[in-house]
Amino acid sequence: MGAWVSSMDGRERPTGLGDLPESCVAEVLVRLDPPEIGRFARLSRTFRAAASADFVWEAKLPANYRYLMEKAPGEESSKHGFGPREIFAKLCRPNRFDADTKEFWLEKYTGGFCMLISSKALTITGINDQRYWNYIPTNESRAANGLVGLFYKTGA
Amino acid sequence: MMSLAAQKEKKIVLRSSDGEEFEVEVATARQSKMISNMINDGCVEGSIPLFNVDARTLAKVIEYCRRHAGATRILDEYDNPNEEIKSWDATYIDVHQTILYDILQAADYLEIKDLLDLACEQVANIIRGKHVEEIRNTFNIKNDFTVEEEKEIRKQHPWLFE
Repeated sequence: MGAWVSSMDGRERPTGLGDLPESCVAEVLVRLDPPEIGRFARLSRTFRAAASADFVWEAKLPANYRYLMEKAPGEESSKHGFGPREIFAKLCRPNRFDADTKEFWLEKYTGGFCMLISSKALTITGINDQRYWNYIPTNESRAANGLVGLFYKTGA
Repeated sequence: MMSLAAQKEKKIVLRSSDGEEFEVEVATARQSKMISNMINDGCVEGSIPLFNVDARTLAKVIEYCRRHAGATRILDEYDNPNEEIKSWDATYIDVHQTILYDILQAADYLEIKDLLDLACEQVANIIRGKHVEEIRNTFNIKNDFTVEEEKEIRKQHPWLFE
C-alpha cells in the first residue's frame, strides 16, 4: 500500500488512494464505467478486492437484469451461482433467444440495452405473403441465421 | 421548535481531532447529516468532538458547508445546482491529492453527501482514461500481483479488454 506520513498531531494521514477505507474506494468505483472498474482490478490485490464488491456491480446492472438472465441462454442451474459481476459479464456478450431469431447484449461502457432482430422474426403487415417477396441474402447479413441489421438500442 | 431567526443566530462549536475549535452557524453545521442528527437529538451541549477530522481538513469542510448552507441561492429553477456554485465547487475541489483524500474521508464520516459526491467524482476524473500503469504511477500504487495472477485476471474478464 501507499506510504503513510505522521502529521504534527501524531495522526497518520493517508497519502495514497490505497490508504482510503474500502467503503470510500467503493464510492469512487461506482462512478466509473465497467471497463474502468476492470482496469482498477488490475492495479493491485487490494484494488482487485474493492473492484469485485457486489454492490459496485449491482449499480451497473439494469433494473430488469433478472428477466434478462432468464432470457439468456445457458443452464438455469449454472446461472444461480452468478454474482453481480458475472451477471454483467454474461449480459454483455451476445445472448440469442426466441429460437435464435433475436439477440441482445449490454453495451459495456454504459450498460445500455442493445438488440438485433432477424428478418425471420419480423412480419410485414398486409403483405406477409411469400408469393410477393423473397429473402435475399446480402453480405451484411449474418451468414448463420440471417440476423439482419435491425439495430435497436436504448440509452443507459 | 426554534424560530428561524433564533436558529440563524445560534452557533455550534466543532472540535477537530487535534483540539482546534471552530464556531459555525447551525445552518452550516446541518450540512452534515451526522451533526444534524445530533442537533435533533439535543446532544450538542458544549462543543462537538470530531475524532476523525483534523483542523486543516475541518476548516476546508466548513468552507464548503458555509457556501452550500444557503441552498435557495445556489439552485436554479429546476432545483439543480446553478453555474455559479458548480464553478465554485470545481475550484474548491481542485486540491492536492492528500487533501482530496482527507476531504473525501471527512465527507464520508460526517455524512455530507454532496461533498462526498464532489470528492469521489474528482478522484474518478483522475482515473478516467488512464492506463493501468499510469494509474499506478499517479496514485503511487505498487503492483503486488504475480505474473500468473495477472494472466488469471485477464482470463477472467476478456470482454473488458477487447
